Amino acid sequence: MNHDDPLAPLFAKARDAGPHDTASQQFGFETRLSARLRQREKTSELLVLWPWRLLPVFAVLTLMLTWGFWQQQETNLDLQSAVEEYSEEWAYVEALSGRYL
Amino acid sequence: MWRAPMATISLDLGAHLSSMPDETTLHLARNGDETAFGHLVAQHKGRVFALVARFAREAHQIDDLAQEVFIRAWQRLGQYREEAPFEHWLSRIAVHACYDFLRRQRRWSLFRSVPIESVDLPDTDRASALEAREVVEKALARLKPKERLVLTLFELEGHSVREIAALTGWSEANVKTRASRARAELKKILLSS
Repeated sequence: MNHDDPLAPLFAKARDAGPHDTASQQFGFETRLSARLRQREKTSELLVLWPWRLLPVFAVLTLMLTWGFWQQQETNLDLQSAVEEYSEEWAYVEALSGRYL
Repeated sequence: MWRAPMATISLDLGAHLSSMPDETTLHLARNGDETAFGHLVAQHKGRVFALVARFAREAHQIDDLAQEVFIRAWQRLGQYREEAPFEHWLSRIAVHACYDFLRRQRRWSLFRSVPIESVDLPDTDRASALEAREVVEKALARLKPKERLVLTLFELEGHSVREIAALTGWSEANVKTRASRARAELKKILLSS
């Protein structure tokens, strides 16, 4: 400790006061600690169980996505054929009307 | 890997343990004996409370922090190698928990406007020890977590540089640098008011 330090006497006096009196707060501490440990255990158990509980949701979601993807493919094919059909028709009209040339 | 059987913990103090030496209690606690751990808690809670009360002011914060220390100890009991006394091992956990608490407080204070308490340097000869402690703690609260931790351990808890290095895991040179920086900052706070 540096004795030339102007704060040294203040620190020395503060040290004399000792630590705060926490006797009243220590009362029943073991019970509270025990309860908190149990609570933590319950929470960690829940965290482990959640993915399993959500398994049906994941399964339904996968099925819906697969069905949605399949539907999209169908729609795309329909659209593609419609476009192709229209293009052909348009080409005939253009050729017959002479505008094609 | 050792895992604390938390679901079955019951911190009753067994009368048969009260006369047991610390090593036996420790051995039992490490093997998952909740009663033995309860005995360790009862034996060391005073020291832990005294330390955490240096950093937390509100009663609920002190209680939460003390609980955090013992929860960490319970979870890490399997890692305790008995190379150092249990009290030292627990103190290291307590110091780290306090440091984490200070950092959380600091982060939290960035999101809300915390009024800065003015600190007046009292007349050291006339001020009582409690007044002096109050002033020092108020001034320390305005320092950065690392600075506050090192100065509290050094000036109020009376630890040496080597002990602080062992408690915090910082090098001795680092502890000295931080202590001197913290002291300069504290001087600025106290002498400017």
